[in-house]
Amino acid sequence: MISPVLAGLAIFTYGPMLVSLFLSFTNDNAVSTPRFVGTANYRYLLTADPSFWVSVKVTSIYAGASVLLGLLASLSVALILNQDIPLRGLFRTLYYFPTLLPATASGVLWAWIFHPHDGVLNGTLRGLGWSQPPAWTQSPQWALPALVIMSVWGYGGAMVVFLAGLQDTPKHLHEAASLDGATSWKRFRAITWPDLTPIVFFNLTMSLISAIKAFDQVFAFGTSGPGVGGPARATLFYVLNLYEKAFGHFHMGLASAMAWILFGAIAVLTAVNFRLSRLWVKEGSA
Amino acid sequence: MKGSKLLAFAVAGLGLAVCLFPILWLFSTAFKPFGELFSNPTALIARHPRPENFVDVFRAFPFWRSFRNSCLVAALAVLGTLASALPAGYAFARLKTRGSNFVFILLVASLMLPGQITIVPVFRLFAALGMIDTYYPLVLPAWLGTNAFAVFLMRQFFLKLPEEMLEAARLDGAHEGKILCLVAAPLARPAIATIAIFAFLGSWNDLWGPLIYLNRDEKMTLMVSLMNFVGGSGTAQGTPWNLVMAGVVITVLPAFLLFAVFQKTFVAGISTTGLK
Amino acid sequence: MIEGLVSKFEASHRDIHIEIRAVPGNQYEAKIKTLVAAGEPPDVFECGDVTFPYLRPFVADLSVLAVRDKKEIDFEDYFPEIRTAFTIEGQIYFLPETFNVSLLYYNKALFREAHEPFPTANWSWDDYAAAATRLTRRASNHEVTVWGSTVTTGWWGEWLTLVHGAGGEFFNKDVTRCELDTPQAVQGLTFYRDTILKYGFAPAPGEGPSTGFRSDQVAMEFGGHTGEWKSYGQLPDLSWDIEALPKGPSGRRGGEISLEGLGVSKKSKELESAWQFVKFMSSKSSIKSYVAFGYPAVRRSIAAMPFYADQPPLNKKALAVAMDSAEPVPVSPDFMEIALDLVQPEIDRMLTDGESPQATAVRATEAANAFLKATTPDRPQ
Repeated sequence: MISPVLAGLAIFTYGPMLVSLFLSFTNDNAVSTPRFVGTANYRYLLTADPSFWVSVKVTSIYAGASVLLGLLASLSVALILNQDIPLRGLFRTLYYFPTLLPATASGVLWAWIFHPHDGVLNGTLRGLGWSQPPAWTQSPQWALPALVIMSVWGYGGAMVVFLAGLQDTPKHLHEAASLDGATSWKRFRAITWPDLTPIVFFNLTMSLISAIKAFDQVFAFGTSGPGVGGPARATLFYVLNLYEKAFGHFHMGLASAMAWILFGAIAVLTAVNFRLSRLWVKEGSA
Repeated sequence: MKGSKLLAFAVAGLGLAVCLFPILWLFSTAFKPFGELFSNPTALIARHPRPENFVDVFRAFPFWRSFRNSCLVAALAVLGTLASALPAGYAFARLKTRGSNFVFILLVASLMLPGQITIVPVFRLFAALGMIDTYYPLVLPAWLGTNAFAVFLMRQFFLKLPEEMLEAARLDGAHEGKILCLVAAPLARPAIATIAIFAFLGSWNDLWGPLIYLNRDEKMTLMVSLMNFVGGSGTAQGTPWNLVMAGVVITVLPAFLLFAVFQKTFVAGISTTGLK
Repeated sequence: MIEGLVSKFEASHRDIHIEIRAVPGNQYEAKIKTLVAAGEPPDVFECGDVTFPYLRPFVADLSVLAVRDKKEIDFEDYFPEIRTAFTIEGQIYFLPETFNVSLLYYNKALFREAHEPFPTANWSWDDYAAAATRLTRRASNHEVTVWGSTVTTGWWGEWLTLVHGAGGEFFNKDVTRCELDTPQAVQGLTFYRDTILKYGFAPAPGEGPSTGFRSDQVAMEFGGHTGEWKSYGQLPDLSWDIEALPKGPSGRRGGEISLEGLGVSKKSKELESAWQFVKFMSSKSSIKSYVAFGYPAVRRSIAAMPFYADQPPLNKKALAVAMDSAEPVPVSPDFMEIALDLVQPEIDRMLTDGESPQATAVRATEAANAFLKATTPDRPQ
């Protein structure tokens, strides 16, 4: 019964992983026979390719900013909704709505909203008196922040998880604490937060990895605007760079090297994340 | 209402307005005639709303064909996912086959792998098999249990089945396959629903796969079609954003509908994965 | 229009069937290479002198067939500059359907409103900049209502032309070294940046009207693309014409000439049929259809027809001047990748981030040379 899964893992996961490791040491370009070139690909990427470190920087900034802001926003909303306000179910549903949009559609929608000349954001800003609003999709400084904003918008999923976690926390502890005179902040720190930490950790890990792998929305956002990677490579995300190298120019060897570097980075990041979690995540529920 | 609750309600409402604005804007633009995109850029409601946009978008671009293609691919992907995840989840949960734990660990580990690390060799594999520009690359992996998440979920669910029920069936002489189909699976309906929904959306929303594997217009799925439309629809007057937004609305419909009908499943699915 | 021509071809060649596959322009290279990698290259595909270098390993040499059918093709009917462009090292690999040459586009109505004389073929960069500055109009809140000229970003159409105009080059003769760090090239890049930042007659990226020259708010367009002729013609309120580009300090106008045609795959099993189609699409009757649709004429016989002279743009003499002074695009399989992925981002930073043209040139050159060094062994034999 597990043979299909076994076959799948061999053919589509671990087998190709090993092949791509091999290819990363060749000059494969998909049309002629690959030739072994040793570490040339890695050396080019790490020392001579102007796009490599830019894409690392872009992806890191995006991942850091969007995860931080996104978790903050979704946690805040969850906390607010946890206050037993009326129509809470409806609120929860509606806040979740944006995540239903496929990343591609999101990218196109936001590219339109952020359109420097005809988009609604700049239209509103001009109406409010700002005569030279940022050129968003065309601006090297503002293209990435625009994508971060779009990403935070999609954190409804994390919010739902937080809310579920919050509702699990037994109410009587809170009541007892407030009877004792503890302020809401104290209550949060002592009771709510410890129980939340596993959930925060989960959301953090998942969002971080998916932010690092971001592709669909970035591709969609960029195609609706200027060229690949945006103006001055402002939105040249790591996976976008990989895609261009692999399927835009067929530098398969280089792309494979990029994929392995990505894998290494994610592995290290995950290990560090897990290690650090012992410092702040409450044991027991994970 | 208590003061703090009122405040919370107000803040939540404000946040919601900001959060939902882009979706409103999506619909707003989808109904605007082309001229109003420029003459009326910040108006939420068009002066002369134009539902014809939704018809025009089909004419401007082979949307209907792409829509059907996406349906086909997604359906096949869902079937494949369930066909491989059900037996695998059951086996991992209840059958003590040798080495199954090891395989399971490998499976879970694969969740950590970025898809990009396998794309180049897999692409070459499909090219060698002559399967480029077909739907095989988009569907075949699902049938071979590559949706590790689905397998994981099924296993979690099957772990909770009471052993006595299965023992009873075994004593009756049924072999494992029959037990799976007749006893375990019918109980797993909520898990199956969750998997089916997420597998469907995963395939429907996929851009990466179709972008890489599909070439011919006739084969294009909806997401790629949308991208082609935006990139290539520029007329003398510029990109017809109103038609583009109408197109986006259409791509988003299945997700919205599924959510509307299966809300509880959605929320339950997300919450449980998070809390586990 | 293409479908019309295909139907016409199939009607007279009953045994040949053509299947058209359209691909968005910016994905063309990727799609062709994917098809080749998958072992299924199309028999006939768009091939021009810009795309040819990376298509070279897959394109059939049509020279023998060309000589055999030369009476039918009538090579002398093509403009000499066009002929030179599609004869690569003495061989024929494709036949052209249309071409692009860099031109100066101007909005006649805006010129008249500003009482400016139309551009002439004798303009220098200074004349161009002065006129553009005078044509730029601002409203009372200092927002620009009419731009003197555009700035072309996203491809090399403008900046490379200006580099040439100043006497610089992108690469050396055999494209083994990038040469954008010479003083002349830097001068070209400086002028490019100055149109926005010093003179202020061109909008910064993202600032101007999203339809550019088509918006009727831009007085000139530097370089442009003949593929836009049709869309300009579709706008009834736009009255426009062309002139040859102004001469740069080195005396060169610097514009490019690049052809678009059809080539045949080396692996094609239908070489003869494919060749028939290629010949047809470049034949006199097909070229006439292209021209009627709005494209410039690659053949002299069509250019001589009265309807061509009456069709916008009217100043066809400028076209001849432009073709005469145009410079072919560097022949290198990596040209587009280097121009778009390595140089363009630096150019973007120069225009929006305030990077100096000198630093931009140096960084672009370094990146291009590192790339050439790393990938030259990559070339399929």
